[in-house]
Amino acid sequence: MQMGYAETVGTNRKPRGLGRRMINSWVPYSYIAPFYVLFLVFMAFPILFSFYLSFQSWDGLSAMRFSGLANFTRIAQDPVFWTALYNTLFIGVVAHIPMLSFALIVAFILDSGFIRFRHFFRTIYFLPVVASSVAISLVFMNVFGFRGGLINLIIMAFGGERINWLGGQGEWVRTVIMTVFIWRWVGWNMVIYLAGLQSIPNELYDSARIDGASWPQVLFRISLPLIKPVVLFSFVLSVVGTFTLFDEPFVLAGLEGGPNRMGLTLMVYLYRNAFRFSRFGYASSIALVIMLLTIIVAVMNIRFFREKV
Amino acid sequence: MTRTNLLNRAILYLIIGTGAFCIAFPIYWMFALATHSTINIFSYPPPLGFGDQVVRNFTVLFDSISYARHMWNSVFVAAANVLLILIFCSMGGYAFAMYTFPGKRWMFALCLSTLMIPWIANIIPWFIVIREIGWVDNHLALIVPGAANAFGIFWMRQYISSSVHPQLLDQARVDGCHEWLIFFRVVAPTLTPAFSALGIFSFVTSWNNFIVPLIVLRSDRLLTLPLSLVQLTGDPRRGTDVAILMMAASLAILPIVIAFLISSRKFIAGMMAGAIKG
Repeated sequence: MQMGYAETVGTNRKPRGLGRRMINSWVPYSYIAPFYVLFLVFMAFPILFSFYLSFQSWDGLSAMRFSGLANFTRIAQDPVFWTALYNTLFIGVVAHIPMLSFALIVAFILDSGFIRFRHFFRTIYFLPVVASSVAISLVFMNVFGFRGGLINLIIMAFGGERINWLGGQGEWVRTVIMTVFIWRWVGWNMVIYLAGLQSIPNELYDSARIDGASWPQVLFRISLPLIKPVVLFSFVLSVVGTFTLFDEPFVLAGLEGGPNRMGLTLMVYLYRNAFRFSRFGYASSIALVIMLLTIIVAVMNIRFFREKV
Repeated sequence: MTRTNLLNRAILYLIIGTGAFCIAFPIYWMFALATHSTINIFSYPPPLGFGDQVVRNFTVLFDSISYARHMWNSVFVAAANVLLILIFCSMGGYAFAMYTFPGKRWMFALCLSTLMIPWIANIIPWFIVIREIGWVDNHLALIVPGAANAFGIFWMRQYISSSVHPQLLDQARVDGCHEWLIFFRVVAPTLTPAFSALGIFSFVTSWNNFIVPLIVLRSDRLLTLPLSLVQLTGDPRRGTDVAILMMAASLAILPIVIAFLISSRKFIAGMMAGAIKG
């Protein structure tokens, strides 16, 4: 009975030869089988199918029609797509500059040993990572509210004009989305940097101190160069994350992306095309663009690493 | 000398203190607003402290929509999802860590190669698969596919190959334990730290997941909390009962935040497990 099971597993996995060895390995096969069945159906297959779909015209119900590159020429001529792409890249690039620098500064301070309650601060900074993005976006809707918002309250306390953050011509929508994004992920990056800093051996610092190095010297000559790979790694991961930014723009700017579509991101546009307008083929080619962006960043990352090593 | 030192220290405290305040305040304010009436929230200046409407908001929330039901859905979906992930990923990670078998290398490479791909971009074909299986508007669509978690396999494999001795397996074999049961009898009980890290990470991810339930779920009685919150925002022209909304958002975050504050070390370790992906 055990043998029979082994054979089924074996034949499903790999039809060609190798008979005995595979039958003998029935135990590990049976262990990876449940995972791999789900993995092939729900991950590997959709990724390949997405590629295929992007060359089809399909509403999700009637028969698919091969349309060649039509989806891609349509993308090229679709001003809304370019808006979404621009917004996504804008958020991805601009939000990271303050976020990563602040995360780095906090990590240095916490690592320096001048501060007590280290764990307390680490906990506070990390809190947003576990909080629901939808709930948080709703709170920030109040923080940036026109009438009862905190930010406008502060602006007016200093004698300024209150700002219609999520309305008006939409010029501030991206700022709000970026603020929520920074707020959510600054702690995550900070903890990564802190771990990187703490893995630097103390002897390095000790010998630097004996040589009479000043605090900035230690920072720029020892700490920064040594955690550069960590910073780069989290940066790449985080940028790739912004390519699929969905929850915050969806809640804060809505499906249309707010006034003048200033808050529309690629992922929201993909969702709108697929699940509101049933343009599955077109939405799949947007998905392909997102994947291409990811691959470009990954390749750039590998290149950069090679230059360094 | 000590004076500049003190000043430096004060500046450092000021920097991280301001940051911590900016991080913590919105969450505090959400809890505070949940205790006011909507009229109060929109008065000028807006309230910063706690109010006295907590009972009223609470009862209105639970009377008007199926919030309790949605909360139960979130708990159930996340718990079931975590259970499957822990079982399947630890089994798979164990096979990759402790055995050699034909095809092992390319199978593991296949699994790892999907880690860098933003999976969510493939939500359309994923949805087609779900539709073909007949899982639209079904919690199974949120529970089962998530167990195919390449990251979980990788995580468990790393942990098992670094912490489980091959001798342990030999010992079990000598003791007459059936090969297939070694994992469950001998290995699995030693994996608690890895289970808790992966479990926390998966639970939080599932609890906060928004786009997948948004696509899959249709009927009101099946919604999970993030969808429930969006549903509460309702029609922007008629306006939203912000007080109720803040109560709902607070209750959606509260269980996770409490668990996080109780064992933040474990949580941070667990959530950072997601960072070793690359």
